[in-house]
Parts: sequence; structure tokens; C-alpha cells
Amino acid sequence: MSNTKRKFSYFSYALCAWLFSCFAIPVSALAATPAGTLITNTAIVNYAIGGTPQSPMSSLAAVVLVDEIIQPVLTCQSLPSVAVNSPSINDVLTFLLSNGGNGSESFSIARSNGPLPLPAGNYTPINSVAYDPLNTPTGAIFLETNNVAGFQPGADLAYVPGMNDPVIAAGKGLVVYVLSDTSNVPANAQGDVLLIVTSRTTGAAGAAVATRLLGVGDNLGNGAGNAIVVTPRAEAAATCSYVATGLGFVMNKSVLSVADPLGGALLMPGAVMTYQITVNLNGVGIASGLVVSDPIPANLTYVPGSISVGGAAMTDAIDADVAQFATNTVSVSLGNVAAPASVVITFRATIN
Amino acid sequence: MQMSRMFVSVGLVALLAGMSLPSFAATNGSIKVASIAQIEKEVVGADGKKHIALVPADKAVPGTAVLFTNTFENIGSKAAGNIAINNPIPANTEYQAGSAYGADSEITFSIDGGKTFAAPENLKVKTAQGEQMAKPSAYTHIRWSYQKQLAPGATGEVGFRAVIK
Repeated sequence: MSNTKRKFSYFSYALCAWLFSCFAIPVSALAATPAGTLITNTAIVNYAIGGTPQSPMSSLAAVVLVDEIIQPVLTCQSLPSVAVNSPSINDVLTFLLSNGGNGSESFSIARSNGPLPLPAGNYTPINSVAYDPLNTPTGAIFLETNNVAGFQPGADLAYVPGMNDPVIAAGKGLVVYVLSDTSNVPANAQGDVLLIVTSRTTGAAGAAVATRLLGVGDNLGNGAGNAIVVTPRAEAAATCSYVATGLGFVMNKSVLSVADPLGGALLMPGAVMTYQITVNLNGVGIASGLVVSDPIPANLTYVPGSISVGGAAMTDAIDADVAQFATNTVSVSLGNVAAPASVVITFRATIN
Repeated sequence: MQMSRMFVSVGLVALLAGMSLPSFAATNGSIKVASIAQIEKEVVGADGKKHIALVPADKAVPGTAVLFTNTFENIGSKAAGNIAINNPIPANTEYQAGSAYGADSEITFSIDGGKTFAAPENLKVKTAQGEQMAKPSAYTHIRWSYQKQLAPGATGEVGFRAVIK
């Protein structure tokens, strides 16, 4: 285990929990009366004695204390599924945890990778090793912290049960990210991650619908008399899925060298740049009809006859070899390529 | 538990403070009025069968229909007339259509904070589609106009249901 796994700030966890500031977003215009509200009814009677109006009389108020509803809602936001390479690391699934209740509520989160029974053709994702700070079974779960859409490493905090369980206000939601690695799996295999969130109000976990947690109120001091469980077991669950493409395809383009007219390596008009495109196929499978195309930008002029593929010189003409230069575009038709494979293409262009 | 009791007490104190005038008047008046809140609950009777009973509603979740019952009694020595019971619909609740009851009473409603009262069919609101009957959710007050004299010692009862929003 490398040190990078330990680079997480526990101070930040505490801050996030204390200030309830793990970024919550409004998810609905929920109109439910907040837990702890006092509903009061007062009747006022006007009357007359012998035809003379008397001072109105008022009843004492009948008071009803609004109990708390415990109702977590969890949905998968990565729909229909996240395509992953095989193998692959740090692929993100996005869930939205909402508080459908009427009071602030704290929730614990747990993940289950490839929950059993595993359907035929499915694989089991692995907790992302690089993002699992404590290497726990519930690792590699992150909470939206910086309010920037999508998972940002370092900015969105890792979830650690019991340390920074999110507190979500009534009607608000929190985006939760789950990161996974994928090993070598067959193409089109599906990997499910089941996320389960559970209310942390004492006695709520596992409770049946309509369970009345007498006198407990809310752990967070909502002022409610009771907490009533509305979702079975006071929990919510959702599944997000990965689908293995079977093939990992990575293409990089770089400037290999520059030769200026004065014999140096400065970028100036007349300088000749050698470009290198590296195509890497990993995983399992065959990339069919693979064509790499690279249009030459307006400020560059292609050097005729400069294409090489895997070190072998190619002609520019549309002919028997795999490369061609036409309509100001370098293209290489690699045909059917079985993974794993690596192809290096180079060509040159002059700066105008 | 300690916490919730404290909240209720604070709420009551606030309420009493807010209506000190009518409360003071109540001690000198000839009519005593009381309001209670109840909810329907399925209970198992002595015969082992389930039936619906009204139980005090000190606590309830949103969505619960609460039955508010107002009883009034002439504690004076003379008959009282022109009795009108005015009941603002409690905040955070919605009047349940058709639920208001009261013997010998004309029941009217307000949608303007108690300034004017009318029967449901005469409560109109202007919408983009023209004038329409006001929805029960728009009611702000209920008024029972008791049509009889209330003799000394006599009592009456009116009530309605409201759903906690």
C-alpha cells in the first residue's frame, strides 16, 4: 500500500460532518411540514347576552407536534451504465442520496460489489484501490464536497463510516460517487454496484415501515417527538452498473522532434515537426476496421512521403499499404487488430 | 423525551402570551370554549377485533388527518345568543373538504384571512380560466353560526378535520 492512499484529511471529514456542509443540493420542493413544528388550533367564540355582544372567548390551543418522517431515497445517476475498459481503474458511478423526510437526517452508506446471486455474465467490480484510503469493504465512496459536478480527486472527500456520515436537510440531496476497478473480464460483461443508505437515527436501521421510535426523536435535535420509519428498514438502495467494452483503447499524439531551418529545435516558420501517434489496445477482443485519421491543421503543411507505421515507411497514395495522405488528412487503416496491441505512427509537417 | 417536552412547553407559553387578551376575557365570560385534537387509530378491542378509535393527537406525521373538536358551554346564568365560533385553519394544515360539522349551526368559510365568510359554493377565486370555486386548501377560517340560544349549563360541539401538510 502506497502513501498516496493515506493522503486524506481527517480534519476535513470532521469539518464536513460538523458543518453539515458536504454539499447538499435541493432535490424537490417538498412541502412536508418540518419535524418539530407545533400545529396549534384555537377556537374563538363570539356571543351576546340579552342582545348585548360580549367579549370574545378563546379556547386554549390544541397542540399537535409534527413527528419526523425517516425516508431516504437513493437513485442511480449513471444511466444506462458506465462503459469501462478491461482492465480499467477508477471508473466512477454516480448516485443521488435524497432526504424524502421532513427533518435533517444522518445516513450511513455501504456498497456491495456484484451483489449475490451474481447474474450470469456479470462480473464483480473491485473497490478502486487508488481511492480506497482505508482499504475497507466500504471503501472508495466519495461525497460531493466542492459542489462541482463530477468526481474531483482531492476535492470530493472520501466517505468513512462513523466519521463523516452525511447529514442531509429535509428535501435536499447529496451526490455520492463510487469508484471501482475492473479486472480482465469478457466483453459486454456487466458489473453492478449496490449502494445502500440507512438512517442513523437510533433504532431506525432494519426497522419495519411505520415503526415509531418512541421518544427518540431525531439524533440531531429536530425537536420532533417521534421518528416514524417510512421506507422499509429505514434504508434505500440503488444499483449502478458498469459494462465492460472488452477493449481498452488509448491514443496519444505527441511531437517527437522539431528541426528548424537553422539546424536547431525552435518552433518557427519553416521548422519541421515530427509527430508520433501511439495507439494502444488493451483488454480482450478485436478492434475491427480500426482507422486512425489526423487532419493537418491550417498552419502546418504535411511533408510528402513522411508517414511511417511501426517504423516502416509508407506511401501517400491510396494503394496497397495501410497509410495514405488525402484531403489534407493523414489516415492509417489498421483493419482488424487483436488486443493487446500497440501501433506507432509518425509523420512530419512544416510550420507555415 | 426530555427534549420534546421542553419544546411543547415553550410552544404553549408562546401561545398563551400571544393571546393574553382573549384568555383574560375567558375568565370573566359566560361561555367556555375548549379545543382538542384527535386522530383515528386502529385499535384491538376487548373482543379481539380491530376497530377505529379516536385517540389524542399530541404527535403526528405529515399526511395525518387530525380531528379538531371545539366544545362550548354556557357557564353563566343567562341564555346566550348570536353565538359564532371562529376557528382559523391551523398553520401547516389543509382543511379536509366536507369535514366541518356542528348541530344547529350554519357553517361558512373564509378564504381572505377571516374578513369575509361564505358557503363553499359562494367562495370564488379568480383564475386564468375565469372565476372558480375556491379549493378547500385555500380556506383560512371556519365559522359556525349557532342558530339557537344556549341555555345556562348547555353545551354544544363543532369540529372539522385538517390534514398536516
